[in-house]
Amino acid sequence: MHMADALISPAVGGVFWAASALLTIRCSSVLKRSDGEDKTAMMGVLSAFVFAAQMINFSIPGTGSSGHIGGALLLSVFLGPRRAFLSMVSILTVQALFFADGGLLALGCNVFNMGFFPCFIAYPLIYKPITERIGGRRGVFAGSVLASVAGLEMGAFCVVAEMLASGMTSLPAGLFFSLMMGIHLAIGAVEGMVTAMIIAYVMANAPDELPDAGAGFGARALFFFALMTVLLGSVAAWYASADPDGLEWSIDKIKDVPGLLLHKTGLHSFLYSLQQKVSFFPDYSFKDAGVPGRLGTSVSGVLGSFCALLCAAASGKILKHRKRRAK
Amino acid sequence: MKLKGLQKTRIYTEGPGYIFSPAALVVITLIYVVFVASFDKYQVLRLVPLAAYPVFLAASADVRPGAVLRKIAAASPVVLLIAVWNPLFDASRCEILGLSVSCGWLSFASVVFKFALTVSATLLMIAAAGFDKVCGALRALGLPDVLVTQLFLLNRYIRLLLDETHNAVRARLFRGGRITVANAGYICGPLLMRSIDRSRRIRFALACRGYNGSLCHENKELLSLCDKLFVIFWTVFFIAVRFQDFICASWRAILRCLG
Repeated sequence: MHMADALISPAVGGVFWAASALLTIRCSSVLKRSDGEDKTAMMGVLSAFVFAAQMINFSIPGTGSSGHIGGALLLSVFLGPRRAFLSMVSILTVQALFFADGGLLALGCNVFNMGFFPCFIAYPLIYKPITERIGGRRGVFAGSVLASVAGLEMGAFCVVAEMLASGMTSLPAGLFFSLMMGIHLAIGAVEGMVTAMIIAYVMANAPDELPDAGAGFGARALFFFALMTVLLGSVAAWYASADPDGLEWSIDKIKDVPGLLLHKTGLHSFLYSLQQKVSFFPDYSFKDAGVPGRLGTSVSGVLGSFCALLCAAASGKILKHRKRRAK
Repeated sequence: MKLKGLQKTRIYTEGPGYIFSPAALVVITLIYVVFVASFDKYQVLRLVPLAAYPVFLAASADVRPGAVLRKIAAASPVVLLIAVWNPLFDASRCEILGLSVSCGWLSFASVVFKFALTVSATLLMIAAAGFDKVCGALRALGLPDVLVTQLFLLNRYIRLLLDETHNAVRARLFRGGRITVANAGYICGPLLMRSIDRSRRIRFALACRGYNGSLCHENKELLSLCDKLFVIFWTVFFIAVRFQDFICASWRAILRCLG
């Protein structure tokens, strides 16, 4: 899944360089404050282990092909997400500098695709909850396979998006997405199984070596995401395309088809008029035509994000309450 | 890449040192990669003058071109696999130097050429300056200490663990078995536990030697006047190539001379 410099544009490479650099600086400063050097050697040696283990290609039964472990999830289990992320940065840097696997400009993309998703999304949000809930070897297997598949699929999606945004390939987007997502589904499942077998081996033979690595997100990270949400909703939304989305475009093309009635039948017209009455920001702008369009976009973006947060929090509360009652 | 291929890193053997500082090499290689990537996928001929930089690096650092070409060939399948679709899906035609050519094949050639240029520049940068010195330069350029130390340690232990991995894989194959998904855990698991043991010993050894969190102590001046001139010269050259089509101009001059 390594991207090469030849496959991306400087704009895409620059954006992902900035994102990965911010994450790296953040992880480094947190680790610098948190402890001393007791895990530095372990980070180095485990990174070298992952590097070496990636060279062990195992045959996948019934397919005639082979695969190897990814490493980010395994590192997250043993080192925690931040150290695992930094280890992945070093592995990908060495691969780019020594073995021409990746590239200098593409390093940001590769770190984001293969480091961020498994370390900060798949491990804390999929692997940990599943292993804690199910427990034992079954939990490790379920968590590893699902987290590996999710991490790889997210990475593969990002690879395709980055390449299409760079405009270096003539492959149709649909075909490219389906090819990449399809193949990485199988690879992720096998990688997850092998990762689970390694963790299970350590669990059986040296359970003390499996640390409780801690959560990936703290209060500051939540603040960062909240800030990003406000910025995206209020400012970045101004630059959103004014063209219709895929569904609107399709409807627009077929609305004049004879026999197709839009908002004309009883229930449809009732719901349509109801929507017109209750929507405060039709098409993400104020109803009052005198208010500037950008102000409407910003207010609707921020308010919409806040409403989504409230809905998610309320759902979480309800589920927690129901769980308590069930106990 | 195969296990045995990884161990062939002879081109990176530390030499007497390059004439320009590692920081200058890192900076100019980064600029070079950005300039190469900035060309449109159909501008393959305009990339040709940019080959001067890796050629200069290989010649001045005394690196055998064959070693670099082998590395490029080993890493090329992924790029070829993606670029090979361009001729199939891009059937339009355009004119280059008076010849009508397929845009798909042009973009294919452009991606492959860009790949060769960027990869050779990166590999030659490490071959010329040496990995440790590049790490020192990265630290001086502002890379976090934790990451630089990590890069140092990784570089130290890769070969050691590759040897162990190689032995484990060879032992398995000599016993007549294959490495499959079912037994991968029994090969990687012991390797992992040995790695953890090794990391513990290294930690104690580092502590005994007064390790203070950083393995890199180089604190020399980043760029000398000579380095600055080196960076400025190549940057001006890249800018000139980016904004002036030297190949077309030369072609027109040749045609004019021929009458």
